[in-house]
Amino acid sequence: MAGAAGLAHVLGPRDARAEDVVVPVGIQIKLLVKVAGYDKNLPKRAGEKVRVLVSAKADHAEAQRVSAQAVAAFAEHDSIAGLPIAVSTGVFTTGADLKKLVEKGSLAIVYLAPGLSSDDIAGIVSSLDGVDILSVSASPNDVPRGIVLGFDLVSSKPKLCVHLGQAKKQKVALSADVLKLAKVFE
Amino acid sequence: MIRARPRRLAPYPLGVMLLAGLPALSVTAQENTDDLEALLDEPLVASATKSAEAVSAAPATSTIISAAELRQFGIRSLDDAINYLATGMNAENPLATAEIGARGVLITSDYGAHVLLLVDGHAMNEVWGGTAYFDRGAGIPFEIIDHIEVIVGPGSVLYGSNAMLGVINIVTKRARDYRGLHAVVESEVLPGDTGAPGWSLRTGVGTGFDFDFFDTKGEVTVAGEYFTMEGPAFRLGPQDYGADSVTGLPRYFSNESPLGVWGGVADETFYHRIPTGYMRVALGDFQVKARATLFERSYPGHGGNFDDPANYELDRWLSLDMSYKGSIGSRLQAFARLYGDVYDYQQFYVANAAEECLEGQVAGCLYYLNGNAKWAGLELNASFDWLGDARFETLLGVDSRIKNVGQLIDISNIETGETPGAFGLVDETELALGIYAQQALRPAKFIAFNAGARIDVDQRYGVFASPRFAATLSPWRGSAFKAIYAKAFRAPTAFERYYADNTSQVPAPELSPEVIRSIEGSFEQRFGTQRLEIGGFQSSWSDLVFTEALSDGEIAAAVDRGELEPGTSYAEQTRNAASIEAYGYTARFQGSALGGKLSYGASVTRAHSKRSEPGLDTPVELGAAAQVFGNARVGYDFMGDYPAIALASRFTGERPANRQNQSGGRDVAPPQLELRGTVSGPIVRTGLQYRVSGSYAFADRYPYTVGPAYLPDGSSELTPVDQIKIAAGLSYDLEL
Repeated sequence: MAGAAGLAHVLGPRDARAEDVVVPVGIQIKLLVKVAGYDKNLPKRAGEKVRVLVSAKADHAEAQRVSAQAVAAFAEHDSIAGLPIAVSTGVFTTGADLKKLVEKGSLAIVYLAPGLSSDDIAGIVSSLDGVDILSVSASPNDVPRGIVLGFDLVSSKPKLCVHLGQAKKQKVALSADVLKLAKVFE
Repeated sequence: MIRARPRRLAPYPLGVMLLAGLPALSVTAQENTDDLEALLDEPLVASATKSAEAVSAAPATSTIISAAELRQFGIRSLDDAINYLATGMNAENPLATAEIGARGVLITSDYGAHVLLLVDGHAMNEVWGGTAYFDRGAGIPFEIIDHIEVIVGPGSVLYGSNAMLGVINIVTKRARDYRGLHAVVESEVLPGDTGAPGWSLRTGVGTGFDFDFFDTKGEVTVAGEYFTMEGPAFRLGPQDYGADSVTGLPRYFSNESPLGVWGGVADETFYHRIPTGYMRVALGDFQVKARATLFERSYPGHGGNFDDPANYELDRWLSLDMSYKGSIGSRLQAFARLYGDVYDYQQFYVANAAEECLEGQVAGCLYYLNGNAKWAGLELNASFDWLGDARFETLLGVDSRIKNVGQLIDISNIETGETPGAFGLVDETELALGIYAQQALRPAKFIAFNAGARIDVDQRYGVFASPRFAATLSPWRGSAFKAIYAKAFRAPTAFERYYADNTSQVPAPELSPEVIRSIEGSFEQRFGTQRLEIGGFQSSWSDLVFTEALSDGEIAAAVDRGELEPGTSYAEQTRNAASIEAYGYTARFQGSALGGKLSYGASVTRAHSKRSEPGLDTPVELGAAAQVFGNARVGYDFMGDYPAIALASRFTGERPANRQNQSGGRDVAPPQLELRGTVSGPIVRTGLQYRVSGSYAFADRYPYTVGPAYLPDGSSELTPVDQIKIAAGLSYDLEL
């Protein structure tokens, strides 16, 4: 058993694969900027500025790579739904700490780099329950587990993934027109 | 509360707006999802640069064919997909195996060696003859295909040999898109015109699932398929062949026709049998892929006796690919791949004719050809994102390979079974190394450059460099101007390079790769989910392999070297002696409406290509190469429990035959128009899906001659077209 566990360690980091980020980060951010514009609650949540946190584990190379590309991709956009964007980065530790960052920073969107374990995701989902925030993952695998928005690839085309139940808990109100374009999880 | 602001004026030029008839610009973002739909509608392509990017941004002209399109438009093979749904490529399927061409160039009898076929990035073209099949012989279970990337134009910059006309990458489904158990059964009826209809049957099963292995994510997809086709029968000939050149007696072909005459009803030798399996297992960042397939077939135009069931061909493939991809730090991605393949090809035919046999085999012979290859390689590459924002990325890679190729021909006496021994023997082990580099640069949102080169060093042919330079300009929303220069090659096959026998052919140690240099430019404009593209191309092919007769002096020199027997009066050698010039344009339009329920598209390619070779005073048209071809389609999916209906068409202009007729000219196959209608959908409350499809080809001849002689008027007999195909199938998907 120890050998098998060792093999698993060699084959890849826990709960994360380079192949998990199936849509290029630049295209993800383009889509995110558009989709966030259809969140009817965004203007109220954001106020005068859409504050975005890009959160990544410190010791995870793939997360760091995606995080850097996401920040650069956000820089190519002036606004979301007409509101200016302010992007910051943060190190992911726990869901509870993330909740504190969200509330302290008046964040409107948190973009999660890959590399989060099942326990990490569960912690994020429970911590953000009732918090007014659009949570977005670089990996579509995290959406069925409760992250509100993700991006998959279906027959080579990008596909939105939305967790509707969690969206309601986090006061994200995407229009029916957007949900028609998405793979919806309850 | 901040109200949604009116969307900014779209930065389209006035002419583009008028062309598109864009809706009123005062629509607010909250009310209109056109921009979002446009982003979601643009496919990604990975084969052009070895990393996924939007088709409009990639340094290539590409078509992405989705699994949904394959199903909706009744597509059942790769050549169908190319003909009905792709742009710039076309395939002819003259009863034997499909031949593939692009942009007005098709090299007949090349066994697919001028197009690189990949399955999940693994090259399928084998290293003995460059063979890859573009019909059902591609040997990949159809239901496991996620999408097909069709890239037209030279692609050796990252892949090396064979990518002259283009690169086709079949991408299989991931477990989450293939979860559960799947089964399919589909049959075709092929009426023919002799009263002896044919049929085919395809059955397949597969499964996909995710798993956790000590908290490491894994997934498995596996599928197997068996395809068999019998008939229909075709009436061929009669062709008055005359006497056997050795015995002087009328040659025997079959009991159906008089001595000296080829033809009759071919009802024994038109069949395909293809079992195939594919598996992909991923664990963490590690993947293992395996493929096994066998392709047994016969067709009525085979050499030897007419319609003899002992005439057939057989290909077998076994491929294994293990890879690892991971990030090292925030800017470096590394990829390692270890792969190995085993392949063999066998050809059998029987001839009751002394002239096709060896000396002393007066009553006839059994002919056997075996070509085989084994190869293994290690590919390593690393991609470095210098600025951390994907705007300045460098890819460096190395692909080392060891190959063994073998070949033999054995012709045994049909009466005694005795053989003088195999000849044409080849057993060569070769080393090869490819080093490639690619630099992507995106200095601003509206402009991008991509430059790269691959250097191949191979013991079979020496050194070859394949550069590519591309620029993409997007001056306004949805636009893309592209300019691409690329050079590519095909390595000489082992047969071309090594085959020799001391009575008629000397080896070709100086044979070098075939070369293509191409320039192309295109303009694409997207309007929401509509896409219009036009482009022009020019390509120059040089050093094409050509079998040339030796002069008397060359024969004497070969005799002195011991390569030919003393007294030889005629002998040949393969040489880099032919060339092709081609230019033309492509145009396509595709789109969707009504929330994706209605989809449509059309494409056309017009080319002018000419071939020059020794013995010709002026360049000539290429046999079987269509100079105008295209397709058009429309489909409507009622969604839910209701069916999807689709009508697809393909057309090609006249094509000259692949061989000359009795007068030295070439007969011409008439223009072809094929229509295919398909209805598919779920059978409510059963979990079953159905698909019914019918197609009709209006012209009845392919541009391929059949038989050893000519029709009574001196013209070539062209291969008949299987004009009507009716297919019906059921599939079952059980989600677990």
